[in-house]
Amino acid sequence: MNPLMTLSKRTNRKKYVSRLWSVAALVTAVFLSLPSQAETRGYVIYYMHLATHADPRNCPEGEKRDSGAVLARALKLRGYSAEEAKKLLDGSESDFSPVLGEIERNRGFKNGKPANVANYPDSSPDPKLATVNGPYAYGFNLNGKVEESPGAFEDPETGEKGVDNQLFRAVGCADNYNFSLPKRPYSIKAFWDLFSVGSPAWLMAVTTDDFDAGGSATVTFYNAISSRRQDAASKTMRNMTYVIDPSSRTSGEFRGVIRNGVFTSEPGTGKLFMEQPNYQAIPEMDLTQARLRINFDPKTGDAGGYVAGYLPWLNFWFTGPGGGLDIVNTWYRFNELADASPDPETGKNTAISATFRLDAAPAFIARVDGQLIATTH
Amino acid sequence: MSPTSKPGILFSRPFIVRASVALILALVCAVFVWLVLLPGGNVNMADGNGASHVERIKRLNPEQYRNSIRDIFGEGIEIDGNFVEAGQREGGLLAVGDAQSGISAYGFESLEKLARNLASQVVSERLRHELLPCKPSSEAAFDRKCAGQFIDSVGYLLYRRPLQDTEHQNLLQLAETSANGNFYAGLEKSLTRMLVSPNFLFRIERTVPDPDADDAYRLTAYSKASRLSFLLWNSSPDKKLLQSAEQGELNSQSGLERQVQRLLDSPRLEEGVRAFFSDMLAFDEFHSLRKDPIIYPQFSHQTSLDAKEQTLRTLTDHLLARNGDYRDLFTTPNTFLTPNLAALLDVPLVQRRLIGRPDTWAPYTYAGDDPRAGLLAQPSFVALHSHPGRTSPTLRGKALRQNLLCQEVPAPPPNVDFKIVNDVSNPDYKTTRQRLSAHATNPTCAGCHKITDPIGLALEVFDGDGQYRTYENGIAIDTSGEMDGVPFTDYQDLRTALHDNPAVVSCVVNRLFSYGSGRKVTARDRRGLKSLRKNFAKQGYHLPELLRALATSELFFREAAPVVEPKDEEHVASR
Repeated sequence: MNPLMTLSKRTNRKKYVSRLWSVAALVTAVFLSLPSQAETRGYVIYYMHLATHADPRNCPEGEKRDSGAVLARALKLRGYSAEEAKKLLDGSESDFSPVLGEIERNRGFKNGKPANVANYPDSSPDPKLATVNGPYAYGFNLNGKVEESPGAFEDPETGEKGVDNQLFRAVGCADNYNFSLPKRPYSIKAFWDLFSVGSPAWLMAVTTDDFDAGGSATVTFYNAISSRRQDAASKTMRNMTYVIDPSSRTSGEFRGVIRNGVFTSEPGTGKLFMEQPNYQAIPEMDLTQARLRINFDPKTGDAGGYVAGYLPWLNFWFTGPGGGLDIVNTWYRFNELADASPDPETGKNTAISATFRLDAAPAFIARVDGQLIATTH
Repeated sequence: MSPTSKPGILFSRPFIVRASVALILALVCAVFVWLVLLPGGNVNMADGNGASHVERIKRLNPEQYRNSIRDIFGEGIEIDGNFVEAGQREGGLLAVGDAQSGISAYGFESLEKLARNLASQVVSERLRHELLPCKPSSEAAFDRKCAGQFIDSVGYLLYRRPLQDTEHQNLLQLAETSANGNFYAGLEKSLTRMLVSPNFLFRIERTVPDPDADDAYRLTAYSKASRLSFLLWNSSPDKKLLQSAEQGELNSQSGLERQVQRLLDSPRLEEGVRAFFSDMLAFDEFHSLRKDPIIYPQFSHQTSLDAKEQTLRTLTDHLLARNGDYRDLFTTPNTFLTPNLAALLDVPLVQRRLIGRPDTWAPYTYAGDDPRAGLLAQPSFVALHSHPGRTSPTLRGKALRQNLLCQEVPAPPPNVDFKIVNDVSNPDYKTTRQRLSAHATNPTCAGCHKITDPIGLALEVFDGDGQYRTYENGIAIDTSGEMDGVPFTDYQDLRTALHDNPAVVSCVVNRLFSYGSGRKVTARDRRGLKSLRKNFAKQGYHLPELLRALATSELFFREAAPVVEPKDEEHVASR
């Protein structure tokens, strides 16, 4: 064999292998640089309400939990005897009593005259109803600090420490809010069921490269031009198509990651604003430093989770969603427990940490021009 | 009651069958007595065509009643009420059963109430100027001439023929005696009488000897007009068609063709096509369609209404608007959806519908070889022929055989044990196919299930509410099977097999003939039907051509010679 020939062959082979590697590297680089085909799934929100967690340790026995005691005091101030007050408060029609309603509303005193506490909440003394002091509340550690116990919350689902949820602390001892899933705060649920079918629906779109494998994802919120539709079992109609209201003020976008079927948003400067569909069920949502966690149920196709952030507490106080809260007590509690957005002049916090539960069913979402932006699967 | 327990005598099948037959016979007899035998009965069997024979008496169905009222008195009339008489299916059609049905006492009561309401609207201040052919000289006095004009003009359209003198005189007298100083009150009474007359509520078809064929009879001209109008418009004939009958135009081929063309060109043709397919596809079963809302929450009452309408829209769009091949109905990707249906079928339907606004229909085309395309995939078939809480390959197979292929499937034997097929939670039989296989091991059941189940099992990819699925209880659905020697692997194959099945074509031809004539196919019709089938194929299976061929054929108007000649023809004709 000619040695020169062998050398030449070797050199050629080396060149060939080298070229092959170059081509492979190029193909790999091109493939990696190609934009992946993102998938967007749509949902219509069928419940959104204050996230509550009932626990026997939340509100110790003996502490005042509702406005009954407040009313008894108000009746006494109006000159009713203890016996007359008891008769009125225990009466079977006490909830609808015009006498009690009037006294409850006008139990404040301003310039020596009864004053409407909705206008002048601090014209009545602080009733000091119980606040939640149990170990659990849904949400996130929004401020990055882990408060010392007692008083620190832990998320019952994720075990995250230092959960900030002062809104639940303020109102969670009221009977209307003393529920855990699958039960929902009952009067909020009733109002939601009643009014949401006549109000513009809230929509949620989740975009990611691969729902099964997980990875980076974005969750966006919208308002629909039509209302959520119900099925024959009075539940949410699945796979309905909703059109985004282009004139709605609702906006919200969360970036995060899907892992094991759960989307968790990155901490940061998330913001969610949602026009309220009905004030009886939920306040106008205006969450800053917002966080979001959504579980995707592969069996039902539903999505459910929690959105948290700092809410201007006046939004909640004005509407008192679900009822059953004492307007004077919440005024004092929110003033006391608000934990963000200090007023530059007074230094008082104007926002309160809060967590809301949301549940959603698969839906198609389209823009008003007809372009489909999210599908059901 | 368990499937194996012995029913009481009152609820036994033979008793119910005998009782039903007795009831039907009693009703038919009652109608006959009402029409013919009662002294002074208010029916006139003549229709201006001389001596003729009453061949068939067909009750108007509710849609025909409503369409007739709307067409005669206009859209301004509110038909605030309905009469619902249970129809009986004969030869696969209610239209044939209607020729053997009467009106119950309850039905008549409803009709009379409705007639009073309609008559009061016609003579009301709101409508009288529009609907009356003349204005009385005085409202407080009886204007005999004007009343006569009204009775003649309205009676012509309601009775679908000119009034006889005695009818005219009786109605005029009634109007005069009821007027009591109010001209319109008198007319109201007369009109009420006409609206409850059997001459309006029943189509009385008469025949005369056919001059062109020995031993054969054909419909009289007015009966022809009605048959044409109810076939093509599902309504009473209009004035032009009655006039063409009066002038003998319908007895000439060219005159008949001219009128048929006019009817085919009318938008009312859609009503006729909808009515025919509603009957052929047994859409009256929608009245009793119920789904368990826990199992099928997306199938609401509205979805049920939409499902029926979806198919009727698909049919009229494909067959009339697109003039498509009838056989392509089984494969067409084109359909129509409402938001409810779209949600049920899991397809997007973008509508800019604001809160409180009603749903609207939108055309929808399935992409490529989407398995949900075609008539059989629509909820009007797969949901209609399912149980409230589960699918039924047997019911689906039976419906396909009977309604679309015109084949008879025997009724199940009594005391069948349905335990295995009903138990959807049995871990040993996770799929419907497994349950049916176990059930069909019973030799008495196996014979019929062989006919129905293979084609029904191909449709198992559609759940009991019509939703598409590929798995049942975690097991991939096996849709393979065989129909009349043609193997298939899935529903797509089945719909192609149906498209190519000659029985599909012969069935629609036979059903259309039976529907229009109100009678079952007999041996003497075979040659004519064969010719229609050949023509249908030659013309590319376009329904309008089939309608034209049928409506202009001798076959459509020819009847057998009466077995017994009318005894008192002259007497009846002169009444």
